[in-house]
Amino acid sequence: MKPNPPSAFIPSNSALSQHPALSTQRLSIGYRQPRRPSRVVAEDIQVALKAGELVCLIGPNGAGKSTLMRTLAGMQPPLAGQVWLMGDDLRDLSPREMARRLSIVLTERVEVGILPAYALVALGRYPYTDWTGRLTPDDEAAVRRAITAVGADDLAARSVDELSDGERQKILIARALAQEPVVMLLDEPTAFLDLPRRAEIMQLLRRLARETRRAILLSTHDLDLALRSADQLWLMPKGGRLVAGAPEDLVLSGALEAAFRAEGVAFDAYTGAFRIPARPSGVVSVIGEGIPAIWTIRALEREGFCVVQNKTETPLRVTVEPGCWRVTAAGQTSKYTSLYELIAFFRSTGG
Amino acid sequence: MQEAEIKPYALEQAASLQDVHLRLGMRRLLLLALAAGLLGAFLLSLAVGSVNIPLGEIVTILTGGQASRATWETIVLNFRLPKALTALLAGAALAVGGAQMQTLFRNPLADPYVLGISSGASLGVALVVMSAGTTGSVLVAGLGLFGDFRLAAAASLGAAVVLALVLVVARRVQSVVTLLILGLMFGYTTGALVSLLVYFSLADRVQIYLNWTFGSFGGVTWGQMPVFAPAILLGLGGAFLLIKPLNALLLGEAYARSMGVNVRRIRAGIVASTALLAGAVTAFCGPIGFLGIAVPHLCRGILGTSDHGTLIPASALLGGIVALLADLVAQVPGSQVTLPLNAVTALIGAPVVIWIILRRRSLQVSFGG
Repeated sequence: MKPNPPSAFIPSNSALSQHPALSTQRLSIGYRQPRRPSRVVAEDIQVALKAGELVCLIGPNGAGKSTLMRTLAGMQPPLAGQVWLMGDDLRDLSPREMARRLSIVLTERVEVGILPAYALVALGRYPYTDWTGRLTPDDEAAVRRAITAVGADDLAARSVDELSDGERQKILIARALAQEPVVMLLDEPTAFLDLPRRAEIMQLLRRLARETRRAILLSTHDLDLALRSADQLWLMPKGGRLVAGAPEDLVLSGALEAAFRAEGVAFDAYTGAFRIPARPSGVVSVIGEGIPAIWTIRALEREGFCVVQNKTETPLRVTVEPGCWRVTAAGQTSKYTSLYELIAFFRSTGG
Repeated sequence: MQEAEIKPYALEQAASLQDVHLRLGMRRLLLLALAAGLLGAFLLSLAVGSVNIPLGEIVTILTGGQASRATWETIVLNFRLPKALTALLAGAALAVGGAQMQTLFRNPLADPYVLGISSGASLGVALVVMSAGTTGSVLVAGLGLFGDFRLAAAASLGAAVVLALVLVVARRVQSVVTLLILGLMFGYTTGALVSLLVYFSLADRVQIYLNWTFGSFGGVTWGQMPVFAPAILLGLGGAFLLIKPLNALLLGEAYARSMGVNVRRIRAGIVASTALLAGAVTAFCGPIGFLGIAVPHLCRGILGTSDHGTLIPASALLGGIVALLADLVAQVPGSQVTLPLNAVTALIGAPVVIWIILRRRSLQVSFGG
């Protein structure tokens, strides 16, 4: 779809072939407190992020996702253990060297005042320009490549304060890209966006990871999207150990379900979707096939029914017919033209 | 190969990028216009006053020629020239200091005095003027009030003490908001001390102190200029060196740090530069308000950018212009009346700023922090 990026866009560092882009060793994260023992958020974290990979960090609120992101970005020191960035301990890197290897995108909406999007992206060249901040032709080329890579060409000349949230986030991703890092960390980059925009940003990040061979780590609350897009999930349960693996690995091992069960969200390994468990309402049989039957089952499950399929011996049956639903309950039959009415009926009879 | 990659982009995006560069060109023109305006305001302030002197004569005097009247030479060289230079430097200093504070604190209402510098200077002056004993009476008798070096020294000392405190704090504290609150608290504390001094002082001493708070560019003599001018130029130089990190700070401290900015060091640099600028102006001219908060807003409005590469030089130029014009109005040309400078800057300036900001949709957008 897009032409391959020019070679200069790909981080060329011999260290890359030997080391993962970012890795941790027995890392403990948390906060040091004066005259009190440190507050440990999570310990013994052992993860690795490779070039070209998109990793999603998920977990319930308060599990320490932001703390981990901040520690990996060098914004707060680890309590114990190490963070390695291309084989070097974060603490050994100068701020400039660090900025050339790692860039960030934050959740908070930035107010930069009156600045064209192009100038904002150009700020990403900060670790490369001289003290005046003047852009060389190479810098300008890098800025343009970054803008093109996120598909924001038409936004370049517009003022940042005129952009929508989604457009602004693209520009901030372009800025992080213009920094030409090996690792990009994004803290809930899709938090303020609507669903289509979230999917678009996620797809964009996935493409960027592949095409530019960058290692991209993002934290998100969007479990569905993370399951579908990530090469690797880092799952952070509250007070537990961080588990890493392909999304499917975590489903099969039950780690995903375990992490969220405590939060009152159930994971359905059949559909790959999360659902909110409802008060149990009894057993109902759905008779019918195809898409209408699937969505009927979903509606009934949402009401808390245990659904069986195509069984005629249960006292409660729903027959799916073209354009209508027939309910058989205790020998009596009634007919509904929408699932909304059907559910309303069940609710009124009270389970 | 590189070239081939960029070309299709250039073709597609020619319009949009040209737009960016066109605006850059416009900005350079506007900066030139501001520079020309500054020169004009400077000459005008030399020509106009209780006695009006033709512009031609001004140029003659400045270039070392003989004016047609000897008194004109005295007026221009001994009174108006140092005053105009002071106004120009002070205006530039306050505007640039204000622009730096607005970016550092990401707050449109920040001005060079948020750090408490002027409060420190006020306390110094209040102590000297109102302390009992000979010092005060000498001042009252002397009445070469603003020319008195003792006042400037007291103000400098007061400003320097607060400056030192703020610098120590600025290197220590994590959050810039803490710094802002501490600056405010310094201000309240010194303000309270000044109130106490005023309350227990004689009326004539209070009047002297009040006169100082009105502000004036007329107090800097040629003898003081070698202290005043280098202090301001040093502060301005610092601000120009900080243009790049100031731009990074537009995105906030977290982003700035991620781009390799040593935030604590840069913060200390910004504070030092602003404290020097505000401290020198307050010490020699009194606490001149309004310029520092308004001029950066005007510049963003006029030039349509928050980029410090444009904002800092534009603020320096426009700050000089506004200070010169305000002083001109305060003189009430053709009369012997002089108005308090601070009243003039606020009375004329506030409506202008309101107009600019209303045109610019919202303050939040125009301040650039």
